[in-house]
Amino acid sequence: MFEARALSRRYRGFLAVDKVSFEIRRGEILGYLGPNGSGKSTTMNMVVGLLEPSAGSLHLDGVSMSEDPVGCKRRIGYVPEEPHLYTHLTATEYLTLVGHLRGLARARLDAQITRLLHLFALFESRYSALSAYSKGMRQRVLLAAALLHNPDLLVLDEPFSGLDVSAGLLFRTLLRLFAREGRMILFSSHRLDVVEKVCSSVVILHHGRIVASTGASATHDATGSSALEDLFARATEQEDYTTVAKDILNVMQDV
Amino acid sequence: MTRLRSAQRSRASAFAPLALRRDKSAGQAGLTLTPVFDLTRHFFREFFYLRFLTDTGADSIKRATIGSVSGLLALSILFPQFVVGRYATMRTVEEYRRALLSDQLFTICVAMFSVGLVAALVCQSLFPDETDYRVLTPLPVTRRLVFATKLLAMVLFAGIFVLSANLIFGLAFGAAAAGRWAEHGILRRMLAHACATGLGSIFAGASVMSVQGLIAVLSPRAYLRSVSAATQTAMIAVLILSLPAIARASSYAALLQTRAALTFAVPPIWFLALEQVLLGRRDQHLQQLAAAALVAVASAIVVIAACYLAIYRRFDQLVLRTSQMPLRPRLWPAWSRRMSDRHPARRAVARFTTMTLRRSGLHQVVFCSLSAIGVAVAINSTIGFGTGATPRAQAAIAWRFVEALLEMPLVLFFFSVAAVRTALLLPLDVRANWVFRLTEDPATKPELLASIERSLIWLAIVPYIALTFVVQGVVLGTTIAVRAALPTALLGLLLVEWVLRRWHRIPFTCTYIPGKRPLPHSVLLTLAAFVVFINIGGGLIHVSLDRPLRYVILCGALVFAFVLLRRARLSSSSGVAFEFEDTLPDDVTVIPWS
Repeated sequence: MFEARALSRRYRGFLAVDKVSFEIRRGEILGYLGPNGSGKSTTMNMVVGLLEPSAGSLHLDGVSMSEDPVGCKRRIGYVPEEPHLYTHLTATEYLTLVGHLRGLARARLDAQITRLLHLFALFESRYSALSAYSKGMRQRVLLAAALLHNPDLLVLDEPFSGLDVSAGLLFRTLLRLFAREGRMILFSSHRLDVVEKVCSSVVILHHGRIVASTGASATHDATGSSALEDLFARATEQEDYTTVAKDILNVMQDV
Repeated sequence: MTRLRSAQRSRASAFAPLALRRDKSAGQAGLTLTPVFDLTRHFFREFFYLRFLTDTGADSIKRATIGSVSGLLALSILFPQFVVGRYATMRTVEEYRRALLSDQLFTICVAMFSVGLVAALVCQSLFPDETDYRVLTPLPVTRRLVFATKLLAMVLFAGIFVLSANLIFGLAFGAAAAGRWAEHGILRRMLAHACATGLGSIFAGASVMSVQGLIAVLSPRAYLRSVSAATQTAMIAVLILSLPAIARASSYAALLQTRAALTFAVPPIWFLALEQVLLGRRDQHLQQLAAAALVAVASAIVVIAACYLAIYRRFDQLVLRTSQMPLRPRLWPAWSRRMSDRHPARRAVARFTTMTLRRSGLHQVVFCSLSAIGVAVAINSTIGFGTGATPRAQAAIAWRFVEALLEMPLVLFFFSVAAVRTALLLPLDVRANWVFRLTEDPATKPELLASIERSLIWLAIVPYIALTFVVQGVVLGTTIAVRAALPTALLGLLLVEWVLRRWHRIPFTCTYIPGKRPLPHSVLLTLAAFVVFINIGGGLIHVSLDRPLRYVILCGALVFAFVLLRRARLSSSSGVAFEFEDTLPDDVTVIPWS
């Protein structure tokens, strides 16, 4: 089980994440939602060890991440929000770099990379520098890199961004099967429809605080409209979108 | 592509107002002066924009640049004073003429070198590129406007350097080169010299630009980036390697009087001849050389114009074809794979370092330029000894020559270690370093440091030991070369240990703030280190070569120092995390005078 206990992060006086607590059980996919600037990516960065929490703690199967950061990081796979990669490398070179940094044995790694490149439909482009890849292709490279070491916890920050329909469907299925094997997934996204289909439970963040949490599977109401959308709008105090859209049109006409 | 996209974003935001500033009454084509000004300013700023630095790094480099320019300006005030004093003491008109000719050639060379080097440093931004196409084409600006403003920005940028070079070396020298033997009025002297240095520097800058233009037009798109980066590196290296020749420019001025055909192969002499013609000399050889100078300037400008026109007319075709070539892995022999088959993390960093140095234009330029300075200094210190009139003078010259040859590898180590270190310091897409931060493990830190140490040894020590061993073997004999090899190699390893003593970075992954120390402090430290390492190191090798006891003591002392430094480095590095963000020092830097 993965646990975040009263997690906080302060940036020069600004509280980006305020006493956030949640847990992910084995086999569970937790959707982590919130509007821009609500503290989602900050939480993700703390979970994967890129940021130190100002307060609170993180535990993976009872082991505190502050006590054994390296051991915990070895068991985590991460897909960041933006596909920041070393674009002068090819996909094979990048995956080899990640594999070596994770201490994977060479013989096994080479075979695994080849198989992953085939499965992620990247094999034909394996000799092209990542700078020539589309956003979706880079996202696939990141997903392959996150899965390379068979992690227990997968942390995904907008993982479907840029993916085409078929790749999106494939990854959705992959995540479900991955969770079914007893792994844990922390899934952050703005795509509420995807969250509904993929996640077993949902946490909604606003101004750095958890404002709602629920099981995602029970969020469709009788009329077919998404209850998650309504819940999200209510929990995060969203404005009336029609009014805002009209205001934007007015600004355009003033030019 | 990430860099391209971030550049696109920044440019798009910079030019977003353009779409709104169109003069409605003038219609689609009737743009006000604002876009011209905005675009020119943007392209002009681009020449000074260092993408690999953070804002703090850019501020720091601005401070360092202002400091060094101020220092150079202060020194340039002394230059005319020095010239005035020198010419006042000339005893004969012949002596004055010889000195004047030499100094004229030297100043022309320096002006040409300065402008050529600046043009070579920014040559990849001289023509509109793919980013300009992708960002500016959707905006309501014409292609003509984009090209015109880019050209205008380029002219302004080049103009600053041509004018600066002219002010210091053209007008100031022309005014100061007076004395009682002066044959021409001050105004004529100033104008003639300014014309020669001005046209010479325009030729130098235009030549670099025309080479880059030809590459942009003629090279296949798949190879454009690599060819362009390689040419830029080669041009910078050649310019730096020409420094020993520039330092001895005064001795080549005599070539002009010999009317040798060789003078047609040395561009600065063309402009020296042009100056002589402008000063009224009516020699046919001089006139031919002056004509060559004018034709060369005109040709370079015509080539640039033709390249501009070609890129203008085929902009979309040139920039939209694929610019990627396949990067097939090298098939290393099995034995080399076994040799490198140590810790995976060490292998990862070693391969990452090699691939980045092989593929990143910026890192190649830095590495090759600094290494080229070392080669230039090494060449400079081993030539021009003369012969000596007496046996005693000959013996002294021979002694100094042997010492210079023994110091040669140390000079090369000094600069190439600095070159590799600087190249490894410069970041490559800092936002992508999360993969190293995520997999950071204190247990593997010694392995990663060992990989960096190995990179330094293989890139900065081993090639130069091999090269200078051959040179020393041919010139001084195999016995001396073999004897010198061990202490030389030990000094090289000592230098690597010294350079790495506070190194806590994975190559290319940490932000970089240059100029953290005051410039004079850095210059003094570097000079002191140079003198200690080269002169004392070279001297110790020299005096120990024919005395076995001294030789053994020297090698023993070097091994002892190496082991000591290494142990200190490894013990100080344990428990310290890798740095991924460079910071300015909190405390005031105190120069340890005592």
